[in-house]
Amino acid sequence: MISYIGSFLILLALLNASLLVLSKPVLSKITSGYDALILSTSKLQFPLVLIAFICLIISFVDDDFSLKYISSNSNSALPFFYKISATWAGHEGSMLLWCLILSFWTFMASIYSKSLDMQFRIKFLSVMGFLNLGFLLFLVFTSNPFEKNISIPIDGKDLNPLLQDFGLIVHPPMLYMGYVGLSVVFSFAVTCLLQNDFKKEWARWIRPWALMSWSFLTLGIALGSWWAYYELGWGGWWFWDPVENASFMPWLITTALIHSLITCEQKSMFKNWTILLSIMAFSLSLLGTFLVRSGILISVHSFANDPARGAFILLFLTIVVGGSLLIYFRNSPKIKDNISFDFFSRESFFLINNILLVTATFTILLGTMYPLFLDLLGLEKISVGVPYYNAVFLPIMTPLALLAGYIPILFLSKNKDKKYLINHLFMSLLVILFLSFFSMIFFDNFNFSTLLGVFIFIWISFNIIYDLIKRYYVSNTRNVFFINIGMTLAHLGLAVFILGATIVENNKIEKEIVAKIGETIKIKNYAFKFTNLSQYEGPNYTGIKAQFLVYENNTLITELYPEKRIYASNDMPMTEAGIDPGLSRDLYITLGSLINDDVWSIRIYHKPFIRLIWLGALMMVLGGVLSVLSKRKRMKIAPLR
Amino acid sequence: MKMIKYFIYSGICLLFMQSIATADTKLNDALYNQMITEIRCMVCQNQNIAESEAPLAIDLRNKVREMVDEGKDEDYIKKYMSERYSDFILYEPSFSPRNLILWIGPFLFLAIISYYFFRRSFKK
Amino acid sequence: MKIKIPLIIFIFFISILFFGLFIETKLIQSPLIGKKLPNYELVELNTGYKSDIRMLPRETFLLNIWASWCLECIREHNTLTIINEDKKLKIVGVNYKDKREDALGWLSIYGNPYIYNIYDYTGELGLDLGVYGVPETFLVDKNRVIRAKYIGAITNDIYQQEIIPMIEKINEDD
Repeated sequence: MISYIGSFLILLALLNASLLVLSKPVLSKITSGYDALILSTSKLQFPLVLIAFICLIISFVDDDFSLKYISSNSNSALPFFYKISATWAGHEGSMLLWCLILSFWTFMASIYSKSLDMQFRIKFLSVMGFLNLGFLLFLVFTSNPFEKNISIPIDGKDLNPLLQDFGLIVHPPMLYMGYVGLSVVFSFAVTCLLQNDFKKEWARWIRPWALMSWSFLTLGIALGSWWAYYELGWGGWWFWDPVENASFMPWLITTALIHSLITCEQKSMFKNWTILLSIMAFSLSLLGTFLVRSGILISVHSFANDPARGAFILLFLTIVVGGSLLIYFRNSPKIKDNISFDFFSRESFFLINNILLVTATFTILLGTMYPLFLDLLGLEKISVGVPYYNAVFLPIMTPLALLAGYIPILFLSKNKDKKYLINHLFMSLLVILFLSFFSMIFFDNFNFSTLLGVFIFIWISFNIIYDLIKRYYVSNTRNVFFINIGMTLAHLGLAVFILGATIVENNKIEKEIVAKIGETIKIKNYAFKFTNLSQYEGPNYTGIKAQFLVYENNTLITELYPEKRIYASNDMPMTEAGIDPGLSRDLYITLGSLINDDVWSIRIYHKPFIRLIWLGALMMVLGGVLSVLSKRKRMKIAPLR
Repeated sequence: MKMIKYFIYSGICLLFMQSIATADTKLNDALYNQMITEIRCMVCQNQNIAESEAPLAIDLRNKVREMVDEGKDEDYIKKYMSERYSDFILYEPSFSPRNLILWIGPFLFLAIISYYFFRRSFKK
Repeated sequence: MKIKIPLIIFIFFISILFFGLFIETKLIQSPLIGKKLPNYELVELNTGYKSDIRMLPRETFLLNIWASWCLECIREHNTLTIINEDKKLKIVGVNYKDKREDALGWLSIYGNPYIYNIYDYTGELGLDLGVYGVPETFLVDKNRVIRAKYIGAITNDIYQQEIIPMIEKINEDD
């Protein structure tokens, strides 16, 4: 019953979106009152899709197996919370989630755009309507979660055991909030092109939207990474998997966009470039959607392969991206723009920042698509993975990280730019050389990567904090710390992230051994005693749980319980790691396979400072959010003409 | 005044390095652990052999272990794998003419985009 | 026109994505084609007789990797029986990571199209042949050089349309 309501509401939403898109072109010829229609339809979209989504959730909880989507992704034995999260676990449901979030951003864009010129606002919301329409059409025609089964099964298949987990409940919605949020920036940019204008006040208007999307993306990506770490059983936190790359690319471009918006707002420069970045950011979002759902790439994230669906998304992608790029090339020359400035100035930094970020994005795109490209040419199938990206991506990102140490330049008067830059550059090279020599001589296991990571951390955080303290003493107000707290926190977060990632990857200890009960394994000053092994029955699986007593310097500090689980629905055993988290290190144990009788293969990892990776990411998220909040308080956004 | 800043940097760096740079490399099966993350599991193709539970993955891990214990180096192990399973099994693409665009591409792109921007921005 | 280059790049990119949708996930081409079979100590399944590469037929033959726990192998079995009765091609089996009793039992139930079977309990031979999913079949010529590899169950179609022409081509080359 509920599912019929859901179905109906989706169709209503489709109708609503059509009205939103068609109002201006169709009705503007007839009457002039279409403004109100556009404003209401843009707001109505959200409640329509929301209630439909809730209907789907209720159907899951009610075990309504008459729906194909539910019988494929849930069953009666599934724990309650996972029945709810199963709503967005599969392709159709996650598509509905996407539509929901899109309608939400459309709603927000509608409410918070009062200060925009009406003509502009209408076009802007119409473009968003177009996006809503496209995705709903895709949903209704190829991926309807309310589609009925021909015959109703007694019970459903199970939810993939990997997805029965908290991290995986929260990761997609956060990521979608980011991906879809970029549609606001995109629509805004396209509208600017249609209006042949881009006032610098508009850059100020759009920045919070870019920042919010960015923050959500950062959070979504960090959650995915953290989940993979504790769930997948070998302590990895990033794999350069095609779908991970698909989320990272929009993130990089959005980072470039945020910096570009700043130049745009302050100096009225780089307008067309900013517009282009806005288009690219959302295009990459769409590309990501395409890659996951078309089955075109081998990935741990892929939903079920379906070329027909893939073709639809590709068509939509071509229209949206192709269309916006056409408009860009036609209209951008009409926008008054300026991109001249001094080489030794702060604007240079924003430019280099953008160049490096765009290059990094291109690199990832190349690596992800290259195997497909070769395959199409009939050449041999190859793999592009971690070693490639490490070799190519890191050298590009290193100078970018060093740039962040120059933030204090923003607070100097302009004529000091050149002197500051040259001094800084010279001294930093000197320091690195000195440290390298010193470390090589006095440390046993000198590792240049670690040194670089530590140096970058100190370089960024020290420069920022030192500058803050200096300005505090000069101005004598604590305001100094809070004015740009978002920016400060985000860049410090970046520094912390780099520190964590560099240290853990170059200094981690991984030991794979065989042991039986009673034996003790030693790593550094830790001892792990294998004390027990037992079997138990979970709600929908059978588990084998091992117990390890962990000693640090001969004192018992904790007990760890790595497990192996075999779910009724799946043949492959799932690994649950036993983790002792800590800011300075994680201890990580997994149970391998039974060798014979009572001998097991065990893996023990010592991961120094790995938590800094997610701490840094959270700092970045918080920084982004604070940037949005503090701006809204500080400035009354003047009516834009 | 400025110089002190840099001494403080260096000092902090060195302190950090001192506390971390004591990783016991003998304990760490570096080559083995590195290799198993660089070899794809041919059965569960979206996983490397470190994380895959497939029987083939276990066999391949054992084989890598064997080769590491015999003192073979990274190139030997990689060659062993690709000779039998093709380049597809290795996550690092080879440095062959076929992969030229892949390896040069990023730097070429950087050069082109930098040139474009700097020409447009610094026309004086 | 300024738009030409970006337009070409865009179309190129979309084409890759489009054609990528319809590409048959080509199975990995074996790098062993054109190479000689590894010279192993080979153990016969039934008798335990030990020999090496000299045990193999001195003519073009099929080397079929199978196991009793492999479901697809049952599907393939009909075709192998037909090939055996056709008398054009000998089939040598490699019993991969299996228990001897299970393998022999399986053969007695489903029939034995193999002239004999090599027992690869540890999977070492399979590893050297780049086996990653049974069943896999190699077409080997009289010089013990691998000429073709078929991944997955051999069907009658594959036999008629690929294997037989391949045999003729090999005979011509001699």
